[in-house]
Amino acid sequence: MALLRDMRFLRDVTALPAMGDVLRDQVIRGVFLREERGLPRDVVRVLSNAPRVTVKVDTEAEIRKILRMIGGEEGTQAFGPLAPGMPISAEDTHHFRRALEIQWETRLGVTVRPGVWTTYPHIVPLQGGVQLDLSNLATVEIDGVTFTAQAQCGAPWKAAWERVKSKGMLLPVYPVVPLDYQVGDAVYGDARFLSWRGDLDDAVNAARAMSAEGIQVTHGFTRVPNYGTAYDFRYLATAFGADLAVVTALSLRLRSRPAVIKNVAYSFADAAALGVAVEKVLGSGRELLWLNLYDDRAWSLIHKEPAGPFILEVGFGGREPIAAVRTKALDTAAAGNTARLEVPSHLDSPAAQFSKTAAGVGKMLFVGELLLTSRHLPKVVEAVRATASARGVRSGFFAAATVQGQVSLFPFFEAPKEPARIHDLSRALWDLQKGFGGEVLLVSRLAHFWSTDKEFEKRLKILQTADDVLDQPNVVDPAASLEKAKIFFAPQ
Amino acid sequence: MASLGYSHRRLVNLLGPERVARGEMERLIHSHDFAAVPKPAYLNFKLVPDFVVLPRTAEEVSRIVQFAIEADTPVVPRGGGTGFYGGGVASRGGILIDFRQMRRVSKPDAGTRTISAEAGATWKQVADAAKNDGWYLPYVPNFAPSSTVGGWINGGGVGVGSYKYGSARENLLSADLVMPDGSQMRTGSDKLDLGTQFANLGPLVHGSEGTLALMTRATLRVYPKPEEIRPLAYSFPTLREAREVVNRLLDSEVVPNHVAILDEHHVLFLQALDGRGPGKRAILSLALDGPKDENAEDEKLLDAMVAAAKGTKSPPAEAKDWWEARFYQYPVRRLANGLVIGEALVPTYALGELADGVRRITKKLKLNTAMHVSLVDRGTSLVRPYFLADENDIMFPMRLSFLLRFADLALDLKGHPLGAGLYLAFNVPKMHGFNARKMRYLKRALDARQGLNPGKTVEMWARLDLPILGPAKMPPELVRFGLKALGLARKLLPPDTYTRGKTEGT
Repeated sequence: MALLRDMRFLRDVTALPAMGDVLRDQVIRGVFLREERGLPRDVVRVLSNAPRVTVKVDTEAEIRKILRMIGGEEGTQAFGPLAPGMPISAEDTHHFRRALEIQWETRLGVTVRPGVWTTYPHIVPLQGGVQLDLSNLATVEIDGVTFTAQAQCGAPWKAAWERVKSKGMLLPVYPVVPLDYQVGDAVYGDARFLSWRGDLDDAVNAARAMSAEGIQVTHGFTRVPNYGTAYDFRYLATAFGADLAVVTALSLRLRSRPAVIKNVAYSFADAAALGVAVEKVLGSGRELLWLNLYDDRAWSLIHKEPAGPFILEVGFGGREPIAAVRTKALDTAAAGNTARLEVPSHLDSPAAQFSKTAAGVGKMLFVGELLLTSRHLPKVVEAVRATASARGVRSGFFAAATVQGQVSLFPFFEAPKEPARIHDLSRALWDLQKGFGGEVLLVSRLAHFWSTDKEFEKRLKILQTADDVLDQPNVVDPAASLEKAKIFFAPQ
Repeated sequence: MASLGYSHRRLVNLLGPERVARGEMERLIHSHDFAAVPKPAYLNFKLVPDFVVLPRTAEEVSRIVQFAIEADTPVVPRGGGTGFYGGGVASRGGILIDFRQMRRVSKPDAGTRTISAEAGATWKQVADAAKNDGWYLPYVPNFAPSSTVGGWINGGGVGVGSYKYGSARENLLSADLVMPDGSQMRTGSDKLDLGTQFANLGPLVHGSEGTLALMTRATLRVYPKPEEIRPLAYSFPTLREAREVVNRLLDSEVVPNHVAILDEHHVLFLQALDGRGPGKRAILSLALDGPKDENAEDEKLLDAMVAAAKGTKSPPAEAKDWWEARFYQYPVRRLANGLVIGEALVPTYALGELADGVRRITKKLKLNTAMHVSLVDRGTSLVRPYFLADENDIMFPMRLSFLLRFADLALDLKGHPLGAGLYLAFNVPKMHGFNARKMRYLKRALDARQGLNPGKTVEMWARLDLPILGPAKMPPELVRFGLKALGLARKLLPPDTYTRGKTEGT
């Protein structure tokens, strides 16, 4: 039969890195599109599961109650009272341990639903359990003396921005894609908050959270940054909070609001001219509040004034003399523009208008964020356009650059939000980034799946260890296991 | 545990005889850092390592760690030895890895605006390498000429330039690590700042004092060179008046590279040392970096703020001297044959209360103290009070109560002490409460052998093992009690007089 020969050959073929990638890609595609015909039944079961209940919590105490209940404190009562010294036979001990094990494996979990997804929700849903909606936890407390704000995760970003502004200060970060995010969407969802000086993580002093055990903890220090105090759980909570604990509020560092804020938009005829201007502004040494980039499609979604086809928008402030010298310097750096426009920033538009604009932006199809070094901006913009036109869809982009010369670019497409379309466009962007030697990177849930970077895999293992330590009861977004159903019915 | 002779032979096989030191002098030199160490500490901890090794590559570091696992001996990383609390000294002997032969610095990459440096390169070396290629590395430690890349990042990374550019953490793209099992790992991308994506773990290493992993290389941000760096200095009768200007500065949109206050006592000590400085006056030292036209406008505004607070502007040459002295802040240790530094981040609004608190502690413990302050962000100051002390004085340990009281004061003011190391790890439970326990668990989960810089940062071990229970752990409350008792005893002794007769007003 030559079975061994066939088997050996097949094993070798599938072990080829290229073939391994093909198989891996097929599985990822199948899972993402929930291709029920092509997937084993157990996999379909996991993908079809959903949280049993969504709870809109009003207080942090309610989160504690839910975590403790799900964490098994009541579950252990089912085994009866265990007094110290109570005799347990060897057989009882075995059954008791086995029962605990089953409970551990089949335990329900807790997840938090973000306010708005930029791209698409989790691919693997929480298996039963409780989904928390934090939108009622929406207070923003400002401390003008320490230049900090305590913003609960359910607070709309726009409300926080306005509240901080009313106190004469400035929230340091803003969303690159102007959607109506909640503050916690950067922790639980895929919102990207950025500023000229860095991202959200650089602006967070502390994260208040409910630990998996139901204990309220503050990771970091609300009034000062968490530098040099042993292990930085504050970072873990902000970056991976959705997996480790239920983060309820962030303590944000604020900055003073300049006396004058100017928002100037320069239009450019092509992406190359835009790229040159961006490099010049980055090299000018001028302190900005924001540097945003758009194409005409994106611009028209948030501003009535016509501009384009490529727009560089700079926000800056200062006293009159400083604002004057900055204006002059930026005008020089943006030489080659086809039009100059001074318009109020969309960030400062009235709340109702901001929401309306966000609703319009929300109709677009976003599939991920491209992180890139500024020098590749023109090429990436052209490549995204070419990708879209090859598929017969219109595209646009929102982007923001930081003083470090890194651009965060969100392409969007005028296409229906269908999983197959999302997968196809995501894959196109993933392939697009490969030609830039690591200086362009697609960031999305699918991109994480596709990554075969060995270092990423090593880091995931460390992260898993941190999860095991910080979420010992394994209730905050527990892993979905294919084995789950079998435990109940496996022969003992 | 393998015998010392066997371990020595194996290490020599790994690195060659010239890079493995077993002599008493080399080991003694590596048994302390910048901090003055009381003699009883040598009884409680085994501060003198068994070997000092000097690897040149990450591969060698990995092999050393693998050998340490085999020999069941601790591994302790060490940079320039400029820490204050024993983070880079052995607590239970073992192999001390001196990283200073891993000091290669790459050319800055103009495309990604990054520079890569090995863990043993000094910050001055990295800043100079950036400068030579037309770039600017503005965030450096106060000990930049000797502090190493790995040391400062592991120790918290706050220093000069943090006010405008953030700490080392905000500028770290990725770090190459050797893990407790000897494997190697990279925390992020060396071309892009991953932020919180792709399980970027750079920030977790930041401040971990080499207890989770050994850093062998870091990729850091560089910035375009500013048109001008303009140092400015102003003097005031006391720190209180200087603080008024700082409060106005915080409300303004002026963002200097660095803002530091040297209190009047420090300036007086300098005068006592060699007659330099304006005597008993506080100095506000700043540096503006950016376009000349903006610097000129900002200087005008600062001059007006200082005039309103009745300060005096120093001539440009003096301002330059103060700016250059940022890397050499403690020559006054020669007054007493040593000094001990406390370090904390506190809300800037509480600086006045903190200064009063430090004076109260000083009075109670009868010390000669002074204080440095530098701004970290709009709301936060890095405060470094220090006291003069002769570490050979038999009564020296009694003064260490200052560190406990200062840390408690910082915590009361909603700040926190910076760094735990070997000697101040007892502060961690008070700082982090429930999380302190989780930190210990994380350490054990990642370093099951507890062989990487053990007994530090998240717990405090004495030198001996207990039967069955393993390492003798020092309960934080016991250490606190001991330091408090030393403080009470200190009150019975006469005041310090290190500056008496050398200047007026002490």
